[in-house]
Amino acid sequence: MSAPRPRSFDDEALARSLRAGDRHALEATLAALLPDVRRLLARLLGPGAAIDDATQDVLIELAKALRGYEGRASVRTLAYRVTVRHGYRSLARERGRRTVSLELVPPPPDRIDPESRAMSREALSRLYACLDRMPAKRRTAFVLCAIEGLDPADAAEVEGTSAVTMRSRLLHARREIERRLAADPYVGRLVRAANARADEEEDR
Amino acid sequence: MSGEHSIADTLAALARREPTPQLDPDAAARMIARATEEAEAPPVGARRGPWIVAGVAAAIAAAALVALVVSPGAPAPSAPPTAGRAAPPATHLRLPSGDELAIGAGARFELGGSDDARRVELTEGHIAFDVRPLEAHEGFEVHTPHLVARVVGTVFTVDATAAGSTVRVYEGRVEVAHDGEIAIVAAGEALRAGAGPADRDDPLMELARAAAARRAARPAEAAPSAPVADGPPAPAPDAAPASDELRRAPPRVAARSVEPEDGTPAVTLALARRWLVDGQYERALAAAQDALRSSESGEWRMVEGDALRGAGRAREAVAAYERAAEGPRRVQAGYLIAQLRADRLADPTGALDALERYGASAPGSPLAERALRLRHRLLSATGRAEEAARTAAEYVARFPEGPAAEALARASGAPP
Repeated sequence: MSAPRPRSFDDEALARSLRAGDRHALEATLAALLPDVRRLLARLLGPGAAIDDATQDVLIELAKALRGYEGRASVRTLAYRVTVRHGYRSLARERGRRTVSLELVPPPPDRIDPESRAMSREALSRLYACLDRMPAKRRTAFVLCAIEGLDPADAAEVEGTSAVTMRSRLLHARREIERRLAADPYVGRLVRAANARADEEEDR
Repeated sequence: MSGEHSIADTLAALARREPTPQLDPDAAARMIARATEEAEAPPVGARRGPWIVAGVAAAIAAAALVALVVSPGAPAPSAPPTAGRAAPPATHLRLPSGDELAIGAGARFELGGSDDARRVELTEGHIAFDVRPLEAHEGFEVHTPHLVARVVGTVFTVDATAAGSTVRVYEGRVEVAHDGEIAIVAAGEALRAGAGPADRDDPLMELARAAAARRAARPAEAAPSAPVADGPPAPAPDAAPASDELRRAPPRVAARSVEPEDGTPAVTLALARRWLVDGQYERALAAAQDALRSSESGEWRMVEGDALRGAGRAREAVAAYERAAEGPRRVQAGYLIAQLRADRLADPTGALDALERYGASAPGSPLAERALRLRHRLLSATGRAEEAARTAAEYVARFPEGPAAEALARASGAPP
């Protein structure tokens, strides 16, 4: 897996423009980063989160950060960093409000959702229920590396930690997911279907 | 489960395919314009809204009065605080919401949020907070670079330096989010994040003790409305908080305990909940029942119910949740009663009754989405097809992006 790299930013030139107070450059940068910010927020916070509010908050924070941008990290790394930092705060707030008890005993299979799409959504909600119970840093490592596709070294740069630490968090996150969801019927069906597809492709 | 795809990989791939919620171009342009404006505005930005404007204005008018309210005999404020550096030695601020702040010399802070979600960003320095008891819909948070302290209605101080932050609680309880974990800090306790400042000879601590003592003398006002402060009795408010460093919890822990001031082992709600998460139901149950012997508490009833449920004692869990539902956790307890009746006790009628009685699916309920799904399932299972279709339609109208929206749209006969 490799990190998403800046597509069109000349970071040094951009840093000069932003430091010079170029409003147009700031707006254009925010517009270019918005899809990444929004996608990462959605993945970090999970289904049902107030993504619009979070997006606005991150853009404000990012705009302020960009005003003092000196080009030491890439613009996209900076955007990821600001987004992740906001994600931590949101998760901390949300976690305090969550009822741990509701997640203690997995809800029964929802018999009214026979379609695969509904099954996928249900499995996704199980994944986020599992992520909700992890330490936020472990959750973020999983989102950045396994879902977002960043290399652990790049994710470590976003987080301001070492690649070894990031790999360790990712490993623990994966183990925790495997352990918690091993007996989940929805997830089990999903994995069996994925493996069956892989077998078919291999046969072809 | 074996095979080429692990559970984690399969679910990660699923999450990657999940489309990002759409944002229309006009909304995106508005967001960008607002972000740009705020970045170019002075530190206390336009987004801070009426609360900060009113707060600063009130500070100018009321600063002298506030000194009397917060701390009789304390030095009068030398300047009204705004964002930025406060004047020495301690500046007092009463917010329109009724919260009172005593701000130490050199504190760098910013007020923000809204009337219902008040927020202080403390970059550096020491502030004592006397937050009035909050309503269920209200919040008050203090953010430092190292932690977030969420208040229920209490007296506490936050001391921030570049190296760390310390929260000391003098009355009530504060939830502190730090390093991705949550700790409950009770009266007489302190939490340090990073190399948080140790106790020091600071007049703010005296002010906080005095405010806590006044609060204790007004028992009706001291009663919190939010769940966190509903725990076991707190130590005497006139005691100085201990400055003990948090005990390091095992790696998987989602909440940490704090050393009590007198060294007596105490089971906090956070610790009991950790046991629940870890599957130590009997231990959590014993702690809950112990706490409930000294005083009734909705939060501890929830722990009791959770422990009984986890231990497979469904009927007893329902009884515990019914007691919990008499308190502020009415909706959560009601939903769990319904879930237990539906899935463990084969009592769909009782489950439907619980959903209705405790308002789990009512607008504003945090469990409305799940409660509507459950109601639809129960109505379908009991042959009440018309009501099930109406519930399905209600679900789709209220949660068009909900996980069951597609299936329930078909069930209601509406287009997905």
